[in-house]
Amino acid sequence: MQNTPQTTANKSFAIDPFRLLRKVYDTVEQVTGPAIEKLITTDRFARLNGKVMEAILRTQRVTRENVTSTLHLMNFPAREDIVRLGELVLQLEEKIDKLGDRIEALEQRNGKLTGG
Amino acid sequence: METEGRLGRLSSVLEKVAHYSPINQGLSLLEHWLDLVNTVQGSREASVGPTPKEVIWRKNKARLYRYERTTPATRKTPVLCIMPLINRAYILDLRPGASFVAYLQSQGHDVYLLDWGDWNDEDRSLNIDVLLEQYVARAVRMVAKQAGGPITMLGYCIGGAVATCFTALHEEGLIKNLVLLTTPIDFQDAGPFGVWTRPSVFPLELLTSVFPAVPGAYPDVGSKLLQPLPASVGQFVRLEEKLRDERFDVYGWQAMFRWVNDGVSFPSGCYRQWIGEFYQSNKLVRGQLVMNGRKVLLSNIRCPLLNVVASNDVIAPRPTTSAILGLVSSTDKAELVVKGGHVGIVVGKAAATDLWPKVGAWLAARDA
Repeated sequence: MQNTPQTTANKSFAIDPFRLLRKVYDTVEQVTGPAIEKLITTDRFARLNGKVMEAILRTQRVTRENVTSTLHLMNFPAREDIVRLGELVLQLEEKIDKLGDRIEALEQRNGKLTGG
Repeated sequence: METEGRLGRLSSVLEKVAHYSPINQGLSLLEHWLDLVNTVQGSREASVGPTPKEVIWRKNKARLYRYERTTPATRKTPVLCIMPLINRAYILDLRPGASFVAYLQSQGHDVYLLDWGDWNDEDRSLNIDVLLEQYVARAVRMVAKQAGGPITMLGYCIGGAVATCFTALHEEGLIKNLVLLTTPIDFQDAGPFGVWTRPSVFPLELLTSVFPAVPGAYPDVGSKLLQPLPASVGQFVRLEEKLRDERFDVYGWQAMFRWVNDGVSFPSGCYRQWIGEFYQSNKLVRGQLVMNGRKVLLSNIRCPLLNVVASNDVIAPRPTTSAILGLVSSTDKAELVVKGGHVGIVVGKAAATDLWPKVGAWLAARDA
């Protein structure tokens, strides 16, 4: 089901806050754009970015570990347990695929031997 | 009678108030605002991937699609598209009139596409070696078998790097032509991404140990940081402006907005390899990349190569995408510089008149 927005075709408003916002945005972008472009390629920004990521990731890790131990305490499987199960299924699928490859190779070899 | 008269007068006063200009203006502004909100929110359900297709092979979450044709293919060489690992595959078949797949079909090619699907935590051990051996190799064999001959491999962004590695490792004559779209190969000067992912500042091990599948939001935030204002507030400011124009293609905007915000998770094994061996160590260009026990040497690539690069690509800047021409052994090789950005050149307005016909003509000349 696709949303069908109506475009406010060629509309202009006597009092137009959108136009004002656009002007403010364009000015801010024009003034800050080149500076931001320079800033993001600096070592300082890269270091800061890394530290922010590290802080977020460490929080995520603690949250995940706490959820897992709480679930295990209540004898419920945690995400990690389901993931391990999923990995086993994938390994099984790969084994079947390898058998398929071998059968295909054998068929090709037999076809060549019998001139088929 | 008196009450009716009063009600009548009240009604006419209200009518006048309703027509009072500031109220009308206010309602029009409100309507305009709601159009903006509905356009953005409606993009989640935007219709994408219009070309009919069938699944001819599947493994794990990956699907190999063959796009259905109404008439038999007139070209001998089918095209297999290898997609980026962090994006949805429908970008090459976005909408009617904005579908590279449909264009290639119209040029007489059979078109196949390897869609990686939606990776999850159980895929954490997948790395690019595994993708090459267990996914790409089988998909290529399947397409070549159906076509009865070698194929054209078309890789987009990271998918292009995967296609390049595969072509360098497989010299069995399965790949007739290699087409790369905005594919980073040399990471010596990789722009802001290269700076942010330096080993001394980027917490790669922590990221991949916390997330077995790195959420699509992480690379997405990175892309948005490249142009923070235009990629955040700016896109809505521009949308508001465009919505005033009755010729504006609302559905096209919604489809694109949906794709940009519809990233998929990156298996941590692949992510570690992509950032560690490609971005940080630049092993592919240095000839030090080993996959499945074999060195990936770009000089092993001898098939015709078309390298498409975008002039204003901030995600894969020119130094990263242009280097491959000097590293392969192909005698038939060309670089096509298209005006635009990383995604815009493939599905933007000019794609149908600029990029697609040029790629079509290049493929046609190498179909014999």
